[in-house]
Amino acid sequence: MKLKTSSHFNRKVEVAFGAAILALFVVGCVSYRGLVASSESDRWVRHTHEVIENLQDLLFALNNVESSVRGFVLTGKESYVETLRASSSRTVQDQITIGNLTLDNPAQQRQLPELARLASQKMQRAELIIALRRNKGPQEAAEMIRGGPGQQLMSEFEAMVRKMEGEELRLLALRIADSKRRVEQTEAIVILGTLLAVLIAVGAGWTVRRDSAARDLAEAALREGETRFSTLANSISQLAWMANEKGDIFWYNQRWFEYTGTTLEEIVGWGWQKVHHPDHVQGVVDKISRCFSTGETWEDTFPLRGRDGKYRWFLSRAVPVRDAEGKVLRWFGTNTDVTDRQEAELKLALLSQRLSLATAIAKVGVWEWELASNRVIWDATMFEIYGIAPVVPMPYEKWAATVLPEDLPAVEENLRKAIEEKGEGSAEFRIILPDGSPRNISVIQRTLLDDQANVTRMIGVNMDITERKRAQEALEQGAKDQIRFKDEFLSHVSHELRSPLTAIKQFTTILLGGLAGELNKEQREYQQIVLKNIQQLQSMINDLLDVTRAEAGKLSVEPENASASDAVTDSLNTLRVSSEAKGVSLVSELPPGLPPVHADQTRLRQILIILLDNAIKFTPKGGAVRVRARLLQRDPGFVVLEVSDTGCGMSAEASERIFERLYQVEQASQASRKGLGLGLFICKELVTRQGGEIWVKSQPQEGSTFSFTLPVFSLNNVIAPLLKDQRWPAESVALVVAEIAFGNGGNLDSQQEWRQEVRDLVQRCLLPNLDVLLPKMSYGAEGVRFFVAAFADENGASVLARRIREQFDCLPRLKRNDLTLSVTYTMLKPFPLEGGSSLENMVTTMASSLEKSIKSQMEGVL
Amino acid sequence: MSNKKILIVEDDADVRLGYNVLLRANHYDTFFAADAMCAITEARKCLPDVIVLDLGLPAGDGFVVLERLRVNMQLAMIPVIVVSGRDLPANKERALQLGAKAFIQKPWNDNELLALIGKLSGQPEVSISQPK
Repeated sequence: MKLKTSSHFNRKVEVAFGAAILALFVVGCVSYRGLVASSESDRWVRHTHEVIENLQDLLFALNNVESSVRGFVLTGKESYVETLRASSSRTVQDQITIGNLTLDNPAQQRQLPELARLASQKMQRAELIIALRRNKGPQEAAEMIRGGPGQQLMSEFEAMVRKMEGEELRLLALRIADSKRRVEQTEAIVILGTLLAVLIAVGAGWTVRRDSAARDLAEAALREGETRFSTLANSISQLAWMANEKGDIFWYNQRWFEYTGTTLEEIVGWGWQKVHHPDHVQGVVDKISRCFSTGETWEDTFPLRGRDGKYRWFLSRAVPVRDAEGKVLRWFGTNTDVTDRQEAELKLALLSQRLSLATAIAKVGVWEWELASNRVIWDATMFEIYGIAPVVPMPYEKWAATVLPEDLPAVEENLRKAIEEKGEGSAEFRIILPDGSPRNISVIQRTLLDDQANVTRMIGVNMDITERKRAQEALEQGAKDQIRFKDEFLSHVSHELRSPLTAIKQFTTILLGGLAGELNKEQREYQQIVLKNIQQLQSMINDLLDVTRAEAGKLSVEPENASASDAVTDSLNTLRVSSEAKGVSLVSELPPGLPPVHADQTRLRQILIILLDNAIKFTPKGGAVRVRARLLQRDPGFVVLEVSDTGCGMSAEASERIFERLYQVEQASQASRKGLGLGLFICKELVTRQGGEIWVKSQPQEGSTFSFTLPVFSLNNVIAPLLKDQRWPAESVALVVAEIAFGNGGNLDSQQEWRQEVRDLVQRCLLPNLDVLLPKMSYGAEGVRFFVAAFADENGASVLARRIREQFDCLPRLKRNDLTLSVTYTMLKPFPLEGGSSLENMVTTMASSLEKSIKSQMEGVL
Repeated sequence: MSNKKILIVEDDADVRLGYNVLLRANHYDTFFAADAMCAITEARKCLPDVIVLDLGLPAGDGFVVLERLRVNMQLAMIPVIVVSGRDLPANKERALQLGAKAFIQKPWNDNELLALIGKLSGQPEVSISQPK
């Protein structure tokens, strides 16, 4: 074990090894040279073989030429000529190869032309003999072979080849001898060099041994200090170790062995790697090696396996111990167990990872706003939602600029409120992306408080809800479109049905009128049936249209001052024919002095006719249908109208459902055809719209009673909601009265026309938000009076009066001659605005004063 | 006294024939136009006492005819009865605003129509004998 290093000792070792390596290097060089030489001679042997092979091939090819010629002369077979040609080209090829191979040898090169000449002569002669054989026949050719110089040429050529072979072999022998000599030299040098190296090594070894013995003594002196250190090192809670300057760990404290369950022998030097986690060990080794080589302090965190086989995390540090010259002598390292901390950190990282994954997937952007510094931090998803490049911190103004200006105040108010209340908040707003497209954003925010319960920060999320919004809107729009389409369709169909119905009715009337010749009794009866059915069809179409209107909220109801008694009498007259035809009597009970109702005259008749028509339909012959009108006992503000029959009545269930759309009672007897099942539904709509109620009382087999209420006409009741609708309280109200008196010439019809015309005229002069034309209340034969409640001061009232007069003056002179107009106004003020009086009270007081004023006006003139 | 002239503007041929039978039986002279364009031409030609005008017409609807009648000196004062299968009351209001004298919904009662024509043309009312 070395405890101290010595530079002197090191130098000796270095010198010894340097000398040995030098000797070995020399040996290596020499043997390399020998090796090169021997491979060189190998190459020459191969070369010589090649040359000789080619020469022999040439000889063989030429022999082939000779035998081919003979073959051809004897047999005349063309295949011999082919062989000859092939051999001939072979001789040319061989000569080229030989020329190339012997380029380095001038002696051989000199032989080549002679070789070529002989070969060429041989070939010419062969061609000659072949030609002879073809022209003169085999005899002549054979003569030529036998008599010519063929044989001599061949032997000359052979001799030539042998001569060249001889030359090559001679050269080869020379080269081999040279190579052998070199190998012998190499061997000698290698032996010498090796001997020298061994000598140096032995010398160095002896020196080292001597030095080491001296050092052992010094080390013994140090042991005591070391023991003290060990005691200290073993008492600390950390794992500790020491390594030499190269990083070989030679000492661990007791805790290390306790924790890892290892022994020094197992983990000395770099053996500590075996208690490291396989996934981390490489990184640790790389890092520590780097620090060992550079001398910088090492710090790392990694898991180490305990004796129980479980890994725990350690924060490890190592610092170099240096000598006076700053040279690293050794390393002292510790490992601190940080598993708990590490686990907490890991858990946090995992949580945060999960959260960011969740927010990324859900496309939820998270922001944080530090109020004191006004710093706003956005996460990546936020920037993604807003389509802008990430900026840290995100300036508040930059965000505000993306928000649609009309939405911004509400959002900021929401933020402000959340801060003020130290609570939470949510809002929806619209933004404009950089590309100009609008998006809907939903925001939820929460304030964060410090110890003193001050709002320091606010965090929140943004979600892009554009798609959801769009889908929702599309769905709603789709539903609306569908209803509109259905209504339009029904409306269109109903109208179109009316045209053909018109023609049918026309001609039925014409036939019945005898305009196409007198009808006999039977024909007349049948035509009456046609007419009756046309009327049914017509009323069904009207019902259908009414229902369509009701569903579209367009069922028009224009309530006015109407007489319920008149409506009852009119309706009974209309139905008298059909009831008499069926043998059902119609009775009415109308008390005198029944107050007028606030209702639409036409609609009131429509309701009565539907109810009466049903009653007649379900009442057997001899029965009676009774209509009663009276003040509602429980609320004198209403008039109740009752239609009772002595028909089949209906079950309790039917009573409940009778006003539903398309509901039809199961009919016991087939007294008459079913309708569309819309009549009572329309009744209910109409009654409700006029502020009343409808209900039925019925017992099976005992008949039914349908009752409906309508509000009693009272100016106060009429005016009060109007005043309220006009966003009372106004500063003052003017009551403007336009009265038009008819001249002598007008008959009743033209008077009715005039009323309408003047009503329109007055209506045109009104300001839609400030003036209200009150319902008509009294039409006399002499004229008509219109009351306008105008939310104006005296000046405004006079302007309105002037406008009406001007409009009247614009009427055609012819019409105007028959009429006289007078416009007056009364101011109603000041209003009772005492403290404590509610809006309701003020409205009622105001309405009463208006009513009083109107009544006095009416009495005064009419 | 010569018969009063009635111009019927109606695109349905059957309905036109019906008018013809009914009105001639009641001693009116009848003239016909089947679309908005012809309505004005025909009116200028025959200068009727009363015009019965259907709202749903080819070549511009009845409202267009009403407007153009009003701006023509010769025709402005001719009373017009508007007849339609269309909805009350919006159409009625508009027709009356444009100067129509009356609005009758299809299918109408012949007696009512005759009474109205009689009144507006100044011809003494002659009801067709409606059987009981």
